Amino acid sequence: MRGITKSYGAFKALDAVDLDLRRGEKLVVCGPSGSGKSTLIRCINRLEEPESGLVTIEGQKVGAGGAELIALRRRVGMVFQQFNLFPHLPVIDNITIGPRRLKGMGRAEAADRAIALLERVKLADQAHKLPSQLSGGQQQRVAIARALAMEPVLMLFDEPTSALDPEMIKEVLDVMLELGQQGMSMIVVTHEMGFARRAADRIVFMDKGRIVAGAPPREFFDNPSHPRLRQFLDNILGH
Amino acid sequence: MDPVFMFDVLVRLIPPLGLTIALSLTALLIATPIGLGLGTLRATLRDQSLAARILDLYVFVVRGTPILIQIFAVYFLLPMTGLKLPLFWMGVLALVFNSAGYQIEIARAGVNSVSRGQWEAAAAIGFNRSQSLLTFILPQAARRMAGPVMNELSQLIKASSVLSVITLYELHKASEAIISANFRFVEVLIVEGFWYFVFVYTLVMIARRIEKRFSASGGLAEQR
Repeated sequence: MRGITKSYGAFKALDAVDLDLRRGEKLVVCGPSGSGKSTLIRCINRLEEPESGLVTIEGQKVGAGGAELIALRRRVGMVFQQFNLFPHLPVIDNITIGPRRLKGMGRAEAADRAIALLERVKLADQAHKLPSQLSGGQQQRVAIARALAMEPVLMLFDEPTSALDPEMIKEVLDVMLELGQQGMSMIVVTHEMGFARRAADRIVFMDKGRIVAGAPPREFFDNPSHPRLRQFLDNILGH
Repeated sequence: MDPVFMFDVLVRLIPPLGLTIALSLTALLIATPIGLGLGTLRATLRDQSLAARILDLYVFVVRGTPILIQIFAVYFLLPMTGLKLPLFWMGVLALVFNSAGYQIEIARAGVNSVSRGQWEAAAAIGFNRSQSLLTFILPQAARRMAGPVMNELSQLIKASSVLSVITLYELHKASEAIISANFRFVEVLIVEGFWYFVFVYTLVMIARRIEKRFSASGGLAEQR
């Protein structure tokens, strides 16, 4: 992405941000709240409309709307802080509805693939429950399976563990870790620094709508380049 | 109270009850799709758009004026425009005008009550707006609208009694006629109220059954 800018009134959420991701790369985005992390990844699949700048995925420009954007969204999976499962549909239908409605996949095939995905996130036995019958961690794993069902080339995670109890964070991060090991390209907005250290190829730090530092995990944590980043790390790693 | 007299009134009020049912059901069948459809549309419009402003103004007028005035408006103003409707359809039109306004609000509120995250989740998977609305938003909104819609429909039936002012010989007009012949207010009004109650109650029971079947089948989205 190049020169992405987004403001809310006078507040500049993103200030001409440039960012590149290699295929298969795991990027963690961190920073204080209000620094533009979520806005950044929401501009990639245009849940937020940037005022200026350009996003390209596999050489293809992400347009402002219409059929191209829809097609692109089908290839970019997103996982939300609040899970956003469809509460009126059982778990399995949450996963199959995309492939069935948007790719014309048959019911049996979609269900088989959904079960396989649920096995991957270790929830195959919950397929016929409603989302409200699952714990937060389970719901978030279903949300990951739902996104994977569209066979994305890139997965976006918007603070996927921020709404979870501490005990459930691990089960979600484990699934994400495994996904990364299987070669999925991922951009993860998170405060989980342990995850960042283990899973990320690169970590970027944002402050006031800009990326102020970016480095592989070891360098990022052991040799922080920017004073604001040093302060941030002191604050969150202080305990 | 004279049970024999009351039974006589009960029987004599059956034909006017028929007109009340005809007026109410006709109005209900027209007002509900229009109201809920426009309300859903309103929920997806920008507040500043012209269509939204027109709909808002309409709802404002319906809510801001008594149904009595609305009925007289149809009765006196419509013929001035050269449009001549049979009395029955004037009554239906007045009820539709009133009820659709309230149902717009019900549908708008119902659709808006579904969280923005649901729209975003659907969009992120690759559904366009109308697909998202039909597959994810409306099935959830419909469950929240069911109660308020039933309220509104029972209001509509009872509001049909006001159509007596434009000489429609429906249940209330007929009761008034009987009262003016013998001045036995209490007995006649009890019987009249009984018929409204039976009608509304029957309709509510039918609606409950439909609602149950609807939620048991899992709603709109997964009808296969």
